[in-house]
Amino acid sequence: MAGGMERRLWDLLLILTAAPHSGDVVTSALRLSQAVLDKGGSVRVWACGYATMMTQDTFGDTKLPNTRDPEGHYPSPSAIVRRMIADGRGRFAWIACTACTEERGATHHIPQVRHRSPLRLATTVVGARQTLYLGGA
Amino acid sequence: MTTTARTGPGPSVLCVLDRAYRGAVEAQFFHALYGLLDLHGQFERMDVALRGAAVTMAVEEDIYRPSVRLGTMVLDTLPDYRGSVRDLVAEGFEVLVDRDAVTALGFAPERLVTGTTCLAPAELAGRWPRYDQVWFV
Amino acid sequence: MDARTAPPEGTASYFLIESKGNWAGPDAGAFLLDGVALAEAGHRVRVFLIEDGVFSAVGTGTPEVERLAAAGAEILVDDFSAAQRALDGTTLSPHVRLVGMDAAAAALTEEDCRGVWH
Repeated sequence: MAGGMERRLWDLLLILTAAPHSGDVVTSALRLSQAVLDKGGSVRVWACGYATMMTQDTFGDTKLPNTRDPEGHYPSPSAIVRRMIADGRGRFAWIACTACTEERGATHHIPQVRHRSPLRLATTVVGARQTLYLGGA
Repeated sequence: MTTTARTGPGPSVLCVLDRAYRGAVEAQFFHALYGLLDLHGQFERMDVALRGAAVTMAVEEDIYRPSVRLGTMVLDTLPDYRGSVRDLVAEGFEVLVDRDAVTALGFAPERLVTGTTCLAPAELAGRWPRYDQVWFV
Repeated sequence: MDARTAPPEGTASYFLIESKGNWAGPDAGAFLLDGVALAEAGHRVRVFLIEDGVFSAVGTGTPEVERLAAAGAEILVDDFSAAQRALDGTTLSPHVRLVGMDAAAAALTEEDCRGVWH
């Protein structure tokens, strides 16, 4: 590997291209992330395709009202990701692919999300010990 | 739960659900069955047919807890599919369940949520003419 | 670290995550057969069935699961996905074992493990 500066290696990179609401892939990705965090590891999620919708600040903190449980509290996807980033204390990060962000018109990410060009995908992969590609975009 | 009066202008509709488990963390209460519960009052009649893997939504069990821990957040608002099927029945929906899928997955039809109707696939199709429209949701 | 460091004797360790399974369509079992081929070639293969992939563990005669077991692969089933789908009320293959997500995390953070998600 080139470069004199020590690069940080993340334990797991999840390239999440499958869309929310298409299946339980987002739930699985977050559960796996949490399991790696629980054993002291570090996780990065690279969100592509409609997975870029997960972190839109237009969600606010909560989902829309549940008409069958108006008093219930239902955190929004972006609130969940924001909380995981905060709780991870540097061990959990979320990257939004800038091309997919533009392509889907999902341009209003919460500030905790890093924006990266797809030209940096390979660099990001090299920065992880393990990469899983969760396809579906 | 009381049966909601259906006085809406919409036609009678049979909703067929053959793709289950389309998002837990991001969907929470806002899943396909909730949509039917929330909207059915607008229709003269609305019923549901569960096919394929979606039949498992109508199988009673007592192990699954609709909860996941993500960071310091315990998200205990994941979809409760069986509870929604019970709500459908309570609100006057006819809930039809494909017997072939139930038996192929090894379930005894007696384990289905009380009030649902287990039918052979051809019998399910035989119900279609009773409705103005059939929607695969 | 070179992630492609060859494990002993030229074999690799695979952790194959199947999220679709044999109820997702006619070719859905092909990924499990990839696991069979890898195991028969001498690689270590662990299969983790998750989401709708857990349906492949139902019953005692799923051909892909039988072949994986015969080839020496370990077949794990995500307990959350199985419970979500009420699979405690049915019979699972004797070749599979219910595990938590921590098992997947442990495997995927092993030094030489190659993870693949389908």
